[in-house]
Amino acid sequence: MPTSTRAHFDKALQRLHESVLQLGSRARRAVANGLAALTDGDAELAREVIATDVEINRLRYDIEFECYSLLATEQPVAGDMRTIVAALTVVGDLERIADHGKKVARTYLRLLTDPRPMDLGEIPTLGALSLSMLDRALAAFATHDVATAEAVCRSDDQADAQYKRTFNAIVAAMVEDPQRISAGTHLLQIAHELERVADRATNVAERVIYTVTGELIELNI
Amino acid sequence: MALPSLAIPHRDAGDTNGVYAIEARDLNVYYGNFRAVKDINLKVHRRQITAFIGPSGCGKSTLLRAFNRMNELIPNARASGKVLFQGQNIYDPRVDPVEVRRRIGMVFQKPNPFPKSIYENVAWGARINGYLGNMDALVEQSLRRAALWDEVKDKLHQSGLSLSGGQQQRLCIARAIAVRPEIILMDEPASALDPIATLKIEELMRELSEEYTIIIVTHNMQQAARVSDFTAFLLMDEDRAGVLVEYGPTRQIFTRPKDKRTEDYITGRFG
Amino acid sequence: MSADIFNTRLDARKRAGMISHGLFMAATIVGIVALTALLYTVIVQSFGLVAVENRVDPATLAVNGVPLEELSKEQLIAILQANLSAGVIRRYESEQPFAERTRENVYALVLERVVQPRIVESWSLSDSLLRRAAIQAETAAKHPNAKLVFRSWLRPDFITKPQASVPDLAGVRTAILGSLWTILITLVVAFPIGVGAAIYLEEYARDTWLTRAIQTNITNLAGVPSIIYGMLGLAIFVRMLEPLTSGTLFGAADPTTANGRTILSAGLTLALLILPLLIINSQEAIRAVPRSLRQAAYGLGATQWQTIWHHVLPSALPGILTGNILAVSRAIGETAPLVVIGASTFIVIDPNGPFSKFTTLPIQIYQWTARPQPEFRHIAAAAIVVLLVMLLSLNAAAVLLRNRYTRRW
Ligand SMILES: Nc1ncnc2c1ncn2[C@@H]1O[C@H](COP(=O)(O)OP(=O)(O)OP(=O)(O)O)[C@@H](O)[C@H]1O
Ligand SMILES: [Mg+2]
Repeated sequence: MPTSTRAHFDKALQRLHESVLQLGSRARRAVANGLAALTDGDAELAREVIATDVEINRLRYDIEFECYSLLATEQPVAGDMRTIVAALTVVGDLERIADHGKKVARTYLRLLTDPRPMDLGEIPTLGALSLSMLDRALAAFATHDVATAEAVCRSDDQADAQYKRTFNAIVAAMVEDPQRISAGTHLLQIAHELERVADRATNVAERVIYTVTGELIELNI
Repeated sequence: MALPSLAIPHRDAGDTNGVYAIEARDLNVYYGNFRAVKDINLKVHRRQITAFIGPSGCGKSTLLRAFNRMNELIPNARASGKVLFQGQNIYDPRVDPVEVRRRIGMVFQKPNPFPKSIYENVAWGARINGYLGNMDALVEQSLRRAALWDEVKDKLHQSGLSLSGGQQQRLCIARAIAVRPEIILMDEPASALDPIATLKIEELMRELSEEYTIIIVTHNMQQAARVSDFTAFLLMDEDRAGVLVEYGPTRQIFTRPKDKRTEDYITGRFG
Repeated sequence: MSADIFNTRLDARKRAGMISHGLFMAATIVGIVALTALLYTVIVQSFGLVAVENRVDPATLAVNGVPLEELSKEQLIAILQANLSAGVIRRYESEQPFAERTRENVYALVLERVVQPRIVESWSLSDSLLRRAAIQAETAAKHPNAKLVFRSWLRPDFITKPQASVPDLAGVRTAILGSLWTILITLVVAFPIGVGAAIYLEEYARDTWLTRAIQTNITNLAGVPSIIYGMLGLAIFVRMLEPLTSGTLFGAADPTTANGRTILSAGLTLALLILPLLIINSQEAIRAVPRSLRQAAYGLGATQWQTIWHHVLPSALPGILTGNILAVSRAIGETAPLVVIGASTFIVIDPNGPFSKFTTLPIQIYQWTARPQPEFRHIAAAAIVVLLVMLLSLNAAAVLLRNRYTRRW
């Protein structure tokens, strides 16, 4: 006797969950490594981040395909439907998060060629904040923890504020010394990517809330 | 008849507040001493499709039959509580069940055409109810409404039993709408049909819901999800009596049911 | 699953199957043999050789060398006048003037009154075929004047002639008519009552101890020996309701001679006899009408009566007919109760209504088989054939009726 009337489907859902978490951890690593390459000046690490993005994309499409198959064959409703549909959007967000990590790494490589380097200023702080939001969003996803997910959504304002501070500092530095405009623009780009990571972490958290409660409200105003 | 019969009022054309077509209030149905459904309170929306879902034996058919007093044909079945139709309790002893059943028609799980011609199948109900209009026109109109006309118009005088299962079921629907009911009760109307015939019936139900209130019992969750506007989930309580667990818009029930038992049932984690 | 948790015992199972197969076949064969034996004895007695002795040799009646068969009507009348008394001739004349009679009619009169052929001995069909030579020798020795002819006892004459005391002249017309009248009354009375009661019990009666008691009683009544019904009929219809059953109440019969031993009493008695069977059969047929059909009708707002009349009865009717053919057949073949209520055994006037005295075929047969003369055996056998044919054609009619009804859908 199967323990559940849908043991087979339950296993598939469990595998899906694990795959999404795996994708999450790889996306997180892409962002963390991109940031580390920037702060530690590790060009090798930056190139590795860029190289691994292909695998991440492939993993995302594998998961997406699995979701479509489950939708077509199992006709999920209610909680099952929400789990799968949430996974679909979450893997999109995670893949984009990895893309942001890749862009940080690539922009860092461009910075290296710049004749007038510039101080990173608030960028590490912004990066740490985005990473922590992503960590918490992934933790919430792993354990279906609505409270943590809601906390993530709330910290999005913090991330926005931090982004604004970082942005203003870089712009101020560029105004001070027009020679820094080239490097400053690259740094603005990196700050923007990191801010997007925080946004997408919020999206992931929102899906966690949707999966668990069925409520679909934008907390990230 | 000791009591004078009590006519059920007809809704006049100007009635705009008729949001609900029929309503059960504290309805209980018993078979002998066994209570099959318990304390049902349910308002069925007018000109919408309401689906009853729930595990086998939870009392869906019993509840459905209680809406047009068909349970009375079963020896020792009885009901307590009220079923309000056009503001009138159909269980009032002065109400004639024959009148109730003409106004609230029924389509059964197994197609059951009369062993008569297709024409006669549709015409019979109207005739015995004293229909005064043009019978040919009524038959054609009913068959058209049931999306069967084109398939049978050349063989109206062949036996209704010579049709395929799906056609027979549509014939039964045509027969039901020929007496101009206000509500149509359907007990698993597609369970004996193949998927295409099933979809045809479902499409037909969607069409008919513009004019009729439809209540359908189904075991097919997808069907309930596809075809209905509202879903009622019934379950047996510890005395094996059917209780209403959750009732709401189908879209809500199938995306975010409120009750854990509903979720378990519709996602197939039952038992 | 490993194979050894099943002990399939296929051989033993097959053997058991073969044994029962054999037993069922044996049972069927016994039935067929019994039926064949019955038909054989009946047929063998219905045909065969007879030795006929004429009182006057037809050869002596030839006129100028023209044989009797070829004489003209006038010559035949002359022979009659020569051989019969004037009184007898006058009687025939007053029945129908000779001038209006056909030649065949007069010829038949000559045979009957002058030649007077008489069967002196008869044999069964099997003897006639197998021992023809011996029979010829025997006849020549015992009845030198007799002629051996092959005779079919089952002749058109036999069916159209009324009862007579001489086997050679006796027919079954009165008995057939009596049977038909009786069964007509039985049907007219029992069918509506039986079907009506069945409808009531199946559709209307609540399931109470009373209905259950009634039901049990009906079932048991179906098994009561028919002679008891005869005694009941005697007490009720013949005695108690005599004014009614004799017809005196309606002025249909002469009160001084009429009594209750009429076709009406017989029909009513047989109706009582088959009523339980009829009710049970009809109930079964009604019960076999699917519930879904009734539900369909009720679901459209039909009343109970509309449902029964338009759907239940038409659907049950083929079943009712099938089931009741047997009951009616039984009534046709019934003897004992009719003997008890006092069927006449010797009726020469056609019964012409419910208040007639009557006999029926089975009674006729019964009475003939009880006679010592061997010729009665032959006409009894012929009557049995007639009875069988009548039963079969009535059954066939019922089956046709049913099929016509069923074929509509
Ligand atoms: N005629 C009857 N007499 C007695 N009990 C009955 C009768 N019909 C149904 N019941 C009982 O009432 C309960 C509800 O039956 P009902 O037929 O309404 O269930 P259901 O939900 O329609 O089941 P299903 O999905 O299998 O059709 C069951 O426990 C059943 O055994
Ligand atoms: Mg049911």
